[in-house]
Amino acid sequence: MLFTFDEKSLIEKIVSGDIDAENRLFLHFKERIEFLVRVRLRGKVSADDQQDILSETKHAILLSLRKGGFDPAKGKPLEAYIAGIVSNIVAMYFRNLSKEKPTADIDSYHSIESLDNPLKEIIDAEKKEKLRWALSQLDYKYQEVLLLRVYDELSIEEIANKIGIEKRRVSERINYALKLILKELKKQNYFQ
Amino acid sequence: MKCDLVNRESIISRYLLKELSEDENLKFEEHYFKCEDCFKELRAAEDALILIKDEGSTLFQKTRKVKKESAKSFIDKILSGFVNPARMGIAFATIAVVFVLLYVFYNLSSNKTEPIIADGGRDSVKQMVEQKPLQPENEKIQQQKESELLASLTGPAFEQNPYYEEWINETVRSGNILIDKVISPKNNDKYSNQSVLFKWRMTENIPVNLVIMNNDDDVVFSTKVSAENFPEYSISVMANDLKKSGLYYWRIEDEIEVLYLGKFYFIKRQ
Repeated sequence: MLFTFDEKSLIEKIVSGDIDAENRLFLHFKERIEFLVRVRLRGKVSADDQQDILSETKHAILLSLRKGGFDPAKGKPLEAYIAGIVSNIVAMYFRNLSKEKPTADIDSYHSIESLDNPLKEIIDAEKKEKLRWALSQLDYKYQEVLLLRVYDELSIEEIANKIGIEKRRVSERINYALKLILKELKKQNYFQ
Repeated sequence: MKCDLVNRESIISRYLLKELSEDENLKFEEHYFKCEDCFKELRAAEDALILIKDEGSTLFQKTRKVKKESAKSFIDKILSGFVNPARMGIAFATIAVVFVLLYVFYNLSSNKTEPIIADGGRDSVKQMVEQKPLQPENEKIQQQKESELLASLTGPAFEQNPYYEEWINETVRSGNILIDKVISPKNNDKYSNQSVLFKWRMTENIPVNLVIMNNDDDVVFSTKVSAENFPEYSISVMANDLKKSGLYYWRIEDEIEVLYLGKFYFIKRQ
C-alpha cells in the first residue's frame, strides 16, 4: 500500500525549502516516476540517458513545487500533477530527439537489446518462475500473438496478416492473454 | 482507493505496448500514480512482457515443440510399426481379428431378434419391432420438415457470415473459462415469431453484455445482463426486437472481449 501523508503540510514544507519533506515526497513517488520513464523510453534511449531524464524530472518537480506551482484548490490531485510533469519531460525529450535524428533511426539506433533493464535485476528467481508458469498456462494461440508482438516486435497489422485473423481479434487476444496472465499471477500470490 | 477503471487489462497492455494516444497515456499515468491496484498489475504485466522479450523464443517454442513432437511421435509410432516386418504382420493380424469379431458380433445381434419375436413376450417385442421402423420414419419426417424450413430460409438475410462462422468453429475461446454452459439458443436453433430465450451459466459473477447481430455484422440488439441468479444468466428477447427474418449471431461479452458466439435463425411471419 501507498503510505499516506498530509499532502497540504508536505507541500507547504517543500515550498519553505524543507529537504526532508522533498525526500519524503520522492520516496513516495519514486517507483512510479521510474516506471513511467522506463516504460515510455524503453527501446528509445540508453540506460544512462534514462538516468539523466530521471534527474531532470526530479529537478522539474521540485522546481515547480518550490515555486508553489501546485495548488490543491485547483482540484487536480498531487499524483496527477506529478505524473503530468514526468509525462511532459519525457515528451519534451522525445521532441528534441526527433529534431536531432530522423524518427526512423531512433529505434534502430537504440535497440531494446542494448538497454540495460533495471527490472531484470529486480525480478527474483521465484517471481520469474511464477511468470514462466503463468505464461506456460496460456493456450497456444495466446502465446503465439504475444510472441509475435513482444518478441518479434511485429505490429498488430503484421500479426493479423501473418496468422490470418482480423486486427481487432489480434488486439483482443493480446489483451485477453494479459488478463489470463494476471489472473494466474494473482492465484500464485505474485502481488504479495 | 477502489479502482473503477474499465478495461484495465486492455489499457495496461496497450500502454506497455505503446498503443495508446498521448492523451490516453497521460490520463492513465495520472490514474496509476494514485491507484495501487493498477500499478501492481502494470508492473506484473511489464515483468511478463520483459520475460517474453528475454526468453520468448525458448519459453514458447517449448510449447510449440511439444505440440509438434506429440503429433510427430504419434505418426512415428504408427509408421515405426510398419518398418519392422514382424510388427507389421502382428498389426495386420490384429486388424483382421478385430474385423472378424465385429462381423461375428454383428451377425449374432441381428439374428437375436428373430427368436424373440416368436417368443411369448410378444407385445413388448412387437412394440419394439413396430417402433424400430417408426423411429427412422419420425426422423425422416423431422428431417423433411427441417429441410423444408431450411429451404424457406433463403435470401441474403440467411447467408452465413464467414467471419462469424470461422469464429464459431474456433472452439477454444475464453468462453471455456468464464462460460460454463450455454443452455439456449443452441447453434442453428430456429424461432418463428416467438421470443428467444438466451440462457447460460457462468463461472464468475460478472456483468456481461448480450449483443445480437444480423448476418451483415450490424448490431440489432444489445443489453447488459446482470447475474441476479448467478451462476445462471437469462434474458428473453421479444420477437418484435428482431425486425426481420434472417440468420442472427449473438455474443456474450465482458468489458474485455467476446466470451461466446452463437447463431440462430429467426423467421418473422406476417
